[in-house]
Amino acid sequence: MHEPDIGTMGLLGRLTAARRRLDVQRGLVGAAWSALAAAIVVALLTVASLVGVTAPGGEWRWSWATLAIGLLVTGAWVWRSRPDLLEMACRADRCFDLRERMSTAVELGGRPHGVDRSSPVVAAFFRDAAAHAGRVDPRRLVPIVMPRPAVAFALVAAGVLALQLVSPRESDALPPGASLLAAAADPDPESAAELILDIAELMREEARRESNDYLRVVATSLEQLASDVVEQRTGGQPVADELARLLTEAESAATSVSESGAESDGFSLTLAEVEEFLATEGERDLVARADGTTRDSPAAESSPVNPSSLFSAVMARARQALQSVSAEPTGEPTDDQALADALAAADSTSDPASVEEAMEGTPSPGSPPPDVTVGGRPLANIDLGGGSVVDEDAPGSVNLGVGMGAASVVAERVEVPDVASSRDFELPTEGGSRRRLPEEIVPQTRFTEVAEAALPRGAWSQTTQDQVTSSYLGVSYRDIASRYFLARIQQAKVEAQSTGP
Amino acid sequence: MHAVETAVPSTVELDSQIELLQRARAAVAEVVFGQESAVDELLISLMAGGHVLLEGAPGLGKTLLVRTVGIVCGLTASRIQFTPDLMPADITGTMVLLQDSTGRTRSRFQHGPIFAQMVLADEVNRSTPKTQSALLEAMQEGTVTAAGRVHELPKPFFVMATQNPIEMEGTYTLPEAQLDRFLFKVDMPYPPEDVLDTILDRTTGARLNVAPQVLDPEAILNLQRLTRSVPMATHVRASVVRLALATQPGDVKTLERVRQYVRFGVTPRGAQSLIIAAKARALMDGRFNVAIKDLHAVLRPTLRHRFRLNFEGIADGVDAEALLEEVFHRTVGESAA
Repeated sequence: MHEPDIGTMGLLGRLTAARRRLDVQRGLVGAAWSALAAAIVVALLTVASLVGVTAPGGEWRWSWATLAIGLLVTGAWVWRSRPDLLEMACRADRCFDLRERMSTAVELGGRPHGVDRSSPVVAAFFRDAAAHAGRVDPRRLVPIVMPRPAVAFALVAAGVLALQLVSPRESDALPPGASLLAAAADPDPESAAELILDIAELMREEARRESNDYLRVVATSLEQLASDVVEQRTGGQPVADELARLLTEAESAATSVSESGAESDGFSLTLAEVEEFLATEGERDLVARADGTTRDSPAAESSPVNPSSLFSAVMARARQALQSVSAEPTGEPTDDQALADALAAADSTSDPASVEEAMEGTPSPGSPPPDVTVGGRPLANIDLGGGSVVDEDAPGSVNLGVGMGAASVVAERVEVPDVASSRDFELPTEGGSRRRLPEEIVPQTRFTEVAEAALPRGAWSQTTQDQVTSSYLGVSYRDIASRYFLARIQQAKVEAQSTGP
Repeated sequence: MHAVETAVPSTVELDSQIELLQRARAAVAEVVFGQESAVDELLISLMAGGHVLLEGAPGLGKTLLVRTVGIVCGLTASRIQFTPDLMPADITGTMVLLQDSTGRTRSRFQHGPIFAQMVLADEVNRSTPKTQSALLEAMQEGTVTAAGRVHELPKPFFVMATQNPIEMEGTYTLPEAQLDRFLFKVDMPYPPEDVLDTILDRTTGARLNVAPQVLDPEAILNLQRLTRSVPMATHVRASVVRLALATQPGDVKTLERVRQYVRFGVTPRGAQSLIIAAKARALMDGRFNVAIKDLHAVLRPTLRHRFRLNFEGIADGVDAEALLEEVFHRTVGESAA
């Protein structure tokens, strides 16, 4: 707009300042409305969360989005509805009772060729307008006041704060495993490595019980990570990130095992479980913790059991009993009844703790020599695949027995010197690639090709899940072991007779 | 309303002219006591170059007002008493035959009483429409045609016609088209008690107030040029447009009451009169631009005789001026308050 050279000096500056204040005031109004809308969104979503309806991404994300949109709309509205200086001059005329002096001056100043400036009346007008321009106070013309929506926003915000204090805030708590990952990121390499090795040991035990090679590979990866930390090849947050990733892999492996129908020990490998285990145990009795029991806790008949370990314990004791009975200087085949009586006498109790104690005790006098065989196979090396498994065909039922694994085979382990001592596992990593890791095959797990054996199908029994207690399993396993070993012995006798002396 | 010249006085003369105007105003008000609004409206119409229709009961000082204004402004004045038998030639003049000493006769146009700078047409509604038209034609054209010759009326030329609202029997009411030629219709109300007391005191004593001459015809013409030079903002003019359209009963945006009760709305001439009068009012108020309040101040005298109610409005007792005020506030806004 043309700046008039007479009569209106300073007026345009005052009107411009007033217009800026108007922009600010309108911006405050828009911001107040936006904040009020955002607060209402938070309030509604918080109320919804109290009744179980959770907004995706959290209520605060929606609130910030509402605020951002509101501010954008406010900016556009302020820009589009911005008055020109003539409108501001009209406002000033009304506000200060200037009898249209300012608006006339702004308009005449804006059209220099449409006004006869030589006219004494026009000149007198501009002088008069200039004399009154000092009355235009931008602060009085556009007072910046607290918008009314701001008061409503304050009330709603107070209500939201109260709701936030009342409702349980899971998001306030640390996510599961956060302390574990923070400990892994410890700048002290020794401390971080020790933690990682503890987790690796836990995972190896789990791998052994579940016969899960995937978990075994993950445990190896954890040990390698601990080695890198000690040797300071890595440290800090990358260690925590790698730990989290490996535990995620382990969790998926454990989940896949349970989904395949295998009985769960009651212990999982989620990050939260690992963190809880390491935080609550002193010397970390991995075996006792993995079994779901402690040495000091008395095992009740209705307490949760670890079927796999109990089965292994019973079978081991049965094997020992069989060996002791079979170890006769004559080398004659064992009498069936004598074997059954020996097995029954060997397990005088079904208490899992007593079974474990018996296992840990010193070998009973008269232990059979290691070359006792049953049917030509060394007894000590026979690994019995089995235990307890949920019957998928009979809901609510559990099958207990021998030779009922997924492969329904018995892996006969024979010490063969030419079996490879390690094998490679492929472990999927982030980004879709796969990493090859060598896994040492310990002697206990070396085996030849898996061979199917003609096992008597009677070496199993079926029960309901609610009857699966420690005492029931102890009796059942003892019965199964007896029938199994008797069956093997009978089978061996048949074979011996068929082949002849 | 006759045309005025476009030349304007110099800056030096402006302040003196304004000062003279204020002095003239005070001088008239000193003699015609208690009628300040009528005095202002007369002077405004003088500055605007318009004519005035004065309406009031007898004895309120209408003739005194006109004569005083004439004296203060230094204008030649004449008075025409309109009667039912008044002829047009009695107003405009006539051709007369004159015989000289040699016995030769010649004709000469004898100027009528209209050939004055200020004409008081008393009780103009008592004469016939034919006689009224002779006056109104002179008011519109500023000339008188007689015997085929055009005679210029003196400048400035100012007519103040009066109407007696009491004795309406046997009168010829001015038609709307003729009323539209008057810039103002000025009402002279009955004075209140204190004003009446002062009037009686001043006018019944031995000494009578006589107004001095303050202005002269040239000063009046200068003031008329200054009035037309007063600037007006576009949005103020736009408000006049909105007002004029809002008074038309056929307009789609007009008020329901206007559509129901109004017969004739404000004509373009009425809108012109409103603006010119507002300019004159601003100048008289010592300002040099037209304000919304100036429009409001001259609204009633300018438009009351142009804003006509229909039969339904008259029968329902609608106050035309109140309705006009309502339309003004609706269209122009609260800034007029």
